[in-house]
Amino acid sequence: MSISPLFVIIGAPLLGVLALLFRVPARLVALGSTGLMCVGALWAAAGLPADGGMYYRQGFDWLDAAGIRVTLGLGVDGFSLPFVMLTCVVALAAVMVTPRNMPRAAEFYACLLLIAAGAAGSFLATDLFFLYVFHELALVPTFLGIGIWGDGPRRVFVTFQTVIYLAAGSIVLLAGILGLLWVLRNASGSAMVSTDLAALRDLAASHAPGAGAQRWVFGFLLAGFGILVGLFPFHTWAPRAYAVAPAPVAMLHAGVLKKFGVYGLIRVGLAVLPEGADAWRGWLLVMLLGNILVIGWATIGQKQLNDMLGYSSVMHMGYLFLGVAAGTNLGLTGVVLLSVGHGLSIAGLFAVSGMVLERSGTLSMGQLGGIASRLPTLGFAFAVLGLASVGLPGLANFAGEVSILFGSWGARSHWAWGPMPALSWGVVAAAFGLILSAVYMLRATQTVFFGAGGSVEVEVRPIPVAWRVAVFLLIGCLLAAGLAPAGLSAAASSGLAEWFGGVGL
Amino acid sequence: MIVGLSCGMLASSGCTMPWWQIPELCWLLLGTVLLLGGCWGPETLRSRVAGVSAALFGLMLVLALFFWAPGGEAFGGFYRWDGLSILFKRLFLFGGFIASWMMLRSPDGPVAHRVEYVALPWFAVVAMGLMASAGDFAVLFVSLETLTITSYILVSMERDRGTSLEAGVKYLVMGGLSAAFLVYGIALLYGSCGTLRFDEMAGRLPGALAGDMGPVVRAGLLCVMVAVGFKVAAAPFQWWAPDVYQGAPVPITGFLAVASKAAGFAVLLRLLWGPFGGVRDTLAPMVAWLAAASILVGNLGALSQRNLKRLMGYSGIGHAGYLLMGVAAGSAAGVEAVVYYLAGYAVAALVVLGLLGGLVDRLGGAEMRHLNGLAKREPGLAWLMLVGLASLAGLPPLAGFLGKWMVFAAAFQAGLAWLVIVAGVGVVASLYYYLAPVRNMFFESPPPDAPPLELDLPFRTCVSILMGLAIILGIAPGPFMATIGRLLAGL
Repeated sequence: MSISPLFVIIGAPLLGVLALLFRVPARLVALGSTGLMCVGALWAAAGLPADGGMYYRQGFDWLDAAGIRVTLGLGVDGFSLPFVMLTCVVALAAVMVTPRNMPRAAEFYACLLLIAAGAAGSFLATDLFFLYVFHELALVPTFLGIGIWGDGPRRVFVTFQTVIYLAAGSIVLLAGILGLLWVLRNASGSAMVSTDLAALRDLAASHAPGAGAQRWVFGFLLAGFGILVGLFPFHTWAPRAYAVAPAPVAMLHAGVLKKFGVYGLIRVGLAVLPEGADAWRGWLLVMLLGNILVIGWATIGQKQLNDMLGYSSVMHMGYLFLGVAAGTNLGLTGVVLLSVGHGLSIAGLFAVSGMVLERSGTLSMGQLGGIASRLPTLGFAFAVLGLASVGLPGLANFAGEVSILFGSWGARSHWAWGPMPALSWGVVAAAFGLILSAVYMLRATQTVFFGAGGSVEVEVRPIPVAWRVAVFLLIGCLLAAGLAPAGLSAAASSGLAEWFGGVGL
Repeated sequence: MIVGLSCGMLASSGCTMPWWQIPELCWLLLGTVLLLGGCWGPETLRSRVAGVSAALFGLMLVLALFFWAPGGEAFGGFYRWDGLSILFKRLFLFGGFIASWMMLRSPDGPVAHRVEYVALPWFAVVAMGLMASAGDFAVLFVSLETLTITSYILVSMERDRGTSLEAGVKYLVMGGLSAAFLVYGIALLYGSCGTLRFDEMAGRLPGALAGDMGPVVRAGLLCVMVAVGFKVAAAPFQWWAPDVYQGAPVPITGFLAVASKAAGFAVLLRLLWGPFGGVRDTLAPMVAWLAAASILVGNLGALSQRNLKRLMGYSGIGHAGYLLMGVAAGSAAGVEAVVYYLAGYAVAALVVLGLLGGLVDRLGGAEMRHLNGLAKREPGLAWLMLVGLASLAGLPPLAGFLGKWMVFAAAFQAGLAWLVIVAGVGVVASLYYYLAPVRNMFFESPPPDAPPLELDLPFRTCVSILMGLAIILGIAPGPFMATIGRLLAGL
């Protein structure tokens, strides 16, 4: 068994957690493990074959029970690689922006590393069982991260609400997964069904389950993954959780972990149950318009910077789902690009708002003002990241949004209204949503950072170097992916084509 | 001599095994020696009787794990030595081993009665072993009664504590009721089939059910199932469990939660894959309904609990529900899942109850508020407790998750999708109450004048090993499942 970069990416944070059990310099260990993750991600990216197919594949038979064969399989393709790289970068940044005087630091870093390991593992798993298991690994650290280090009077309530909401989503997803295996087993008539994703996809291609079965299983998958992403109307946990969570946890959760739902819906739902996806397309369109328009409107009304960021993050999930609803290669490539762009930008924005909270003691936009004149770094970073999240050309989000909108325009859908197919109307609404997001983001930038001085005192002392490096790392990645999106989009596009083309391993 | 008496491996080739080879005889002997030695033996033995008991349990467990092989029967078929019984006997020994290890250190135990306290689990384990091996309703009834009577004493051991006595009385009433149901059911079945032997009844029951005696057979089956329902604390026969779990000394709570529940399931599996095998499809819907009721009653009832022992009582009802799902599936996969789930549940429940037993007097009680700030006082113990609770809640990569996965998958295969959805509700609810103590441990501050928590090394070792087992069972279940599959092959 040769050593592969995927082991590094998953193993580094897990070993880091083990090391943190002992009296070691916690911050160094956390930096080292997340740094190693990034090295692993670069290593994996360097080996990407031109066709974008699965590589570095390794699998071990893990368990045969109850008619289900589970293999512990790891692999990466052009579709998952951008998510993996996003995970590693944001994990490193989250560790770096953690204040040096964090109370109970070892436990905090252990939580961050566990979340990172869970996210990376779920993107790297080539097996449905482990895709689910790795994501669940992050649940308890999320609970502890928000509950112990969170801020705000309703911390405990929000912690429980978030975790139970997420657990409910996971259970719905689990029911969907078991239902999928059951349906495929019945359709193929085999006694043993493997949870290997490629095998499931091929099995579904050769023995397609009936339309009714596809419809209800996809419904479960959509609801389960949808809750985890914050699909309207299952989004209520997300803004509150991000408003309360400490900045590094919010960065990892909103930036990375939430993308798992979209990733899983594409990897499993669209690829294995295409008819089910067709049946739900109309509903998905309605729900994602809820994300874009309703949540977008709600975002404008927010009074707290963190609430605003949490809502905006939920709103942008609507664009990701638009690409999913389209299901075209261009649209799905846009989903990958926007996931990366949104993950980087929202992580940076939460880092900034965490620093604002540390320096001013409040996040109320009514009390803050003119921070950029005293702490120019914060103002600059927020402006760039905010513009990225609005979709300024040159930054990664723009490339993603454009691909999604182009990919969805005129995409096939069951019903049409007036002169255009439904999805094209969705594109029109989504374009309108861009105006909404410009309104709230620019307004926040203007009042908090560039307006007149606020009513609270801002503590002016140098911003820690590690924090600057982390945020500029995120901005740098945004710029790189935005100015030259061809590399990412080519990888994603070919990886998706390979996956959906149903070409074997 | 002990090896010769206890191993039973000699019988693996033949069909009959000599009566002196059945391990229960050896355990009975050891229990008697401990009891008498603890009463009249030299002072050195009397002061160390719990340690000796734990060591002997450990030895027996090692023998059971490494030297037992299935095959054969004794006493002319009254005693079955098959894979199912071996798996369960190992689980009983494990429960006894951990309970005696906890007694070493459990300060809320009744010191004045130490000898009985230590020796009685041996007799309970003997009774459970006989239950798991029963080949005849008479053996089943006698061994079940032996277990129940032993448990009365263990539960109400602390005579001067009101809750302990209350628990004993409730257990007594429950035991009497369930014994009445059982003996009545047995009588009805005997009346309609003319035999008490499991193997003979298996052949006659379907015919009797279809014939004139059908209603009598139905009544008999119902009575027996109700009695078993009491034993495993399935709703609606669950009401005794929270009180008994709360009132009993903590090691006994652990012993009951793990070994006694497993014994109930041993009987259930033995019956459904033995004498009731021909009518299993008739009984499966009833088991499924019991499962659904237990999952809802246990998990929703636990939501409002503030005492950890009581919470474990309610959650134990919920776990009985998940286990019954595996039984209701009626397949080999379901039975394998049940055995795995029981082992995973045993390990995780003993982590939680073991820690509680070691800490309860220093914390000042078993209410959740007593755990406040444990993560600041003793981070290691708090994380151990967290792993135990997470496994009970069914979070990966721990044993509790894989158990649920297999049980749910087996139920799905049997077409019980609705039951999986009910179970999903239970799992989400359970996360709330399993995380509630975590909130107390991690989010709250310790009381200002909290004394240091001194927990000695053997105890920490015990709980750490249990936690390690919860993780290993979860991430490397292959060998374990292979053993289960091999031992249950002939079921």
